[in-house]
Amino acid sequence: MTPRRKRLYALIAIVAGVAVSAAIALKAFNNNMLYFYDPSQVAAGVAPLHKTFRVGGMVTKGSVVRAPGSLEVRFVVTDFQHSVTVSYSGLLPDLFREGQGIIAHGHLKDGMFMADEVLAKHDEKYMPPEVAKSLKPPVARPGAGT
Amino acid sequence: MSLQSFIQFFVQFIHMGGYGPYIWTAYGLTAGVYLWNILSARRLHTSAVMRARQRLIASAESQALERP
Amino acid sequence: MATWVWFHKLASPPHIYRIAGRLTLLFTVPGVLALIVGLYGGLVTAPADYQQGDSFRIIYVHAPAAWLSLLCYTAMAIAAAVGLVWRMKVAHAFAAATAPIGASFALVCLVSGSLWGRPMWGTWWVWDARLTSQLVLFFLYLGYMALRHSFDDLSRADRASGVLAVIGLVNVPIIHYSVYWWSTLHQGSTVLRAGGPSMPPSMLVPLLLCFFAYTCCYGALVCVRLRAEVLNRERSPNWLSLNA
Repeated sequence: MTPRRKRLYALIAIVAGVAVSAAIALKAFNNNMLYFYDPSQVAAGVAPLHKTFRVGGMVTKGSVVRAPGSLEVRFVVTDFQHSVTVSYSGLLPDLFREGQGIIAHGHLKDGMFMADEVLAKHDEKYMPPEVAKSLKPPVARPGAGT
Repeated sequence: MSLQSFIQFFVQFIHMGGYGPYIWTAYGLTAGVYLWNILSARRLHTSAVMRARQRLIASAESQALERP
Repeated sequence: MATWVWFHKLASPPHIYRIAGRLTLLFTVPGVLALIVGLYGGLVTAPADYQQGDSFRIIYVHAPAAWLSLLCYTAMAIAAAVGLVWRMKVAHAFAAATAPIGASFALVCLVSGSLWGRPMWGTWWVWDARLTSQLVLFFLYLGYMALRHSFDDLSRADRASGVLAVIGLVNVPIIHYSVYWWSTLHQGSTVLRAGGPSMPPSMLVPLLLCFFAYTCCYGALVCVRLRAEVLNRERSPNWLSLNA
């Protein structure tokens, strides 16, 4: 074996070793790598009961209820299998609206998710408003109800 | 386009639907990084050329000294 | 073997110095033109997004910076591997020339993403898999450069930092696939996506121009830095024309 070939194999071995150990480590920490649980996982009891965690899903249309005269808001988050009612008091991101994907951080209390932070999630699709309107005419304009 | 409508367009453009501060900071940072990249790369090359010349001159001088 | 002549020629400092000099202008002209047209398109002609309004225009500096930070790292790691296996100094010089450029664009990606996340997501930063792995990439660049700095001997610096660069390559696919492997706040890829880009041409064309422009600008910048690196490694570069 020439020294050059030796160095090549040594390098391949190093990369393969690091890749395999990274894969094992990431697999082992898979639960911690998940940024949020969906409502089905909450319903199935996968999400931690006594710790804070994040729940993510779509805000059900027509479910947003604001307490008059305060920042308190209640809404239902769904993954179209199960849903979780979220209670939150504070400023919401610009993208928060019915039908939007959100991620809430907080804990479960009597079946209600008490959130201390609500983040909006958006998908990788972009289009001009006119196109979006022509694609789904019956949907209310985003933000119209808020 | 009248001057007034041009100013109106310009103000709207800067405003960016309320996201102006975020957008212009991001673009400004990008411009700054491009500028840093250009200046630092050129400075690196210029100083490398200068040092290489000094090495050449020094070696030429030492060779001249060694000659009887 | 005749097919390997070009490879051995690449290892020759005067040859690479001359080629890099010629390529600089070749990359600069299309790069600058595409950058001007692309950013104009992104800021002016592209329509606002139906959900994110004008804030989505940050994508025109953010996504190409992310692409470039990954491209630079891949190029750096491959060059370092070639340098380690074939003991090719020019390859190490190329890797060393790439690192600061890649690091600067990784930083652009992180900060512009943060400036986009604040109004849209509602937060400057989250520790999800995508953002965290991109931050790791930035630190890999910093680590590579710091490691090089810690050696006085260039060839030892090349070897040690080269191994680090190659090991860090494992992070590149993790960054790209993080949004599919784990649930993240960050959305999936818009351009490099199964089923084609999820954007109309009015938004996509300026974005593709920016991708092209960033890549060309990297080509020009790395050529200038590579020339400096090559020169610094030559004890007496007799081939350097003194009036150039």
